[in-house]
Amino acid sequence: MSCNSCHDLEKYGVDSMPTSRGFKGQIGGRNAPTVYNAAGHLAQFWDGRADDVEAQAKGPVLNPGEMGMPSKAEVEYRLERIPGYVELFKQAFPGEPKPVNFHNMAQAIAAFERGLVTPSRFDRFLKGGGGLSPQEAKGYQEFQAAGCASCHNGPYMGGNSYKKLGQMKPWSNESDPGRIAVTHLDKDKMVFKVPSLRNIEKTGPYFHDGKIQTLDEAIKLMATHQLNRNLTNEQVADIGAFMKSLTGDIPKAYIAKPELPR
Amino acid sequence: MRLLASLLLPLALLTQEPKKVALFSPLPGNMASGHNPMTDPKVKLGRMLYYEP
Ligand code: HEC
Ligand code: HEC
Repeated sequence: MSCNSCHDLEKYGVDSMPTSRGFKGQIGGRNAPTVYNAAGHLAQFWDGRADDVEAQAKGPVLNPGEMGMPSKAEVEYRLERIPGYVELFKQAFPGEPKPVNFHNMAQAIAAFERGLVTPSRFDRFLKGGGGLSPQEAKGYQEFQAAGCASCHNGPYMGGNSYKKLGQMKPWSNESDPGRIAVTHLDKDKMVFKVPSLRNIEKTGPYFHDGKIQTLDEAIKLMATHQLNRNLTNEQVADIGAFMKSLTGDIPKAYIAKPELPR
Repeated sequence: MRLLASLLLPLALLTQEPKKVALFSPLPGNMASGHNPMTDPKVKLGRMLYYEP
């Protein structure tokens, strides 16, 4: 089991499952978000419980539901036995007395994740290069007019705030209470990190529980539950068309799987 | 302040030309952070560990 098992870099950084299957086939409770364009968010995970990708990268390796390594010491022991890794840690963390350690493992993974960006046609449009079709341009207007952009904004179209899921109308599945588990504040019940909409066409199924299969349905639910609006089918189609302009280019060379030291 | 902003933002969106609202910006070239610089050897190692089964 590797990071790539659940965040497949060839497939926009997701596993396309409602919730992930981890170590020994255990099913977790949340949908795996994409690792593309994630390092720039205000915090990591649906509930923001890790401050950054450096902190986040320490979690999965030891999590019994994910990679299931027994301890930090065990991870270090396994890496130290592979001479190729010992050399690579030395080069990556020069001058450190004991470069092969759990903390540095997470730092290195996180440094790699910080390069996972996927610029799209929307970026070319923002830089003045045109490039949106008439329907996409209409969807862009509707996305803003409907109020989606009050939460999904900034370079990642999200990832920069926490908001209640079911702000105007309660969400149907409240079994995962979200950020209240992190802050223990009542106001954070059903509050989640606003996810990025970059590559959204490719990263379904949707929402923290992965229960919604199609982008059209996700758009409709957002309009009713977050904005108390009913969109027409045409508006949904236009907004969906706009969202597809957020599908970026996968950095093929940067993510090419290297030969691993043995 | 944040609350106020989130209340006013949708209004602003309805009344202004979208291109005047700096709500969106292009993705950066990378998401580098000062506290964990993306040196070549570190990124190379991180890529391997990402794929390590
Ligand atoms: C078994 C599947 C699985 C494996 C293996 C796994 N992840 Fe994840 N990852 C998830 C799930 C599920 C979440 C969401 C959990 C949550 O929010 O509580 C997640 C969340 C994340 C996030 C947060 C993204 C965001 O937008 O908040 C990052 C970054 C991430 N993982 C990177 C990694 C890295 C790096 C590794 C390898 C060290 C890894 N993951 C291994 C399933 C997995
Ligand atoms: C009040 C803030 C808010 C508004 C307004 C809002 N969203 Fe969201 N959006 C969220 C939050 C929070 C989530 C994450 C919910 C969760 O925990 O699953 C989300 C999730 C999504 C998702 C699923 C993302 C994923 O990776 O699974 C899509 C698609 C989406 N929003 C689109 C829209 C559209 C389109 C609109 C306008 C019609 C909109 N949103 C309006 C806060 C908002």
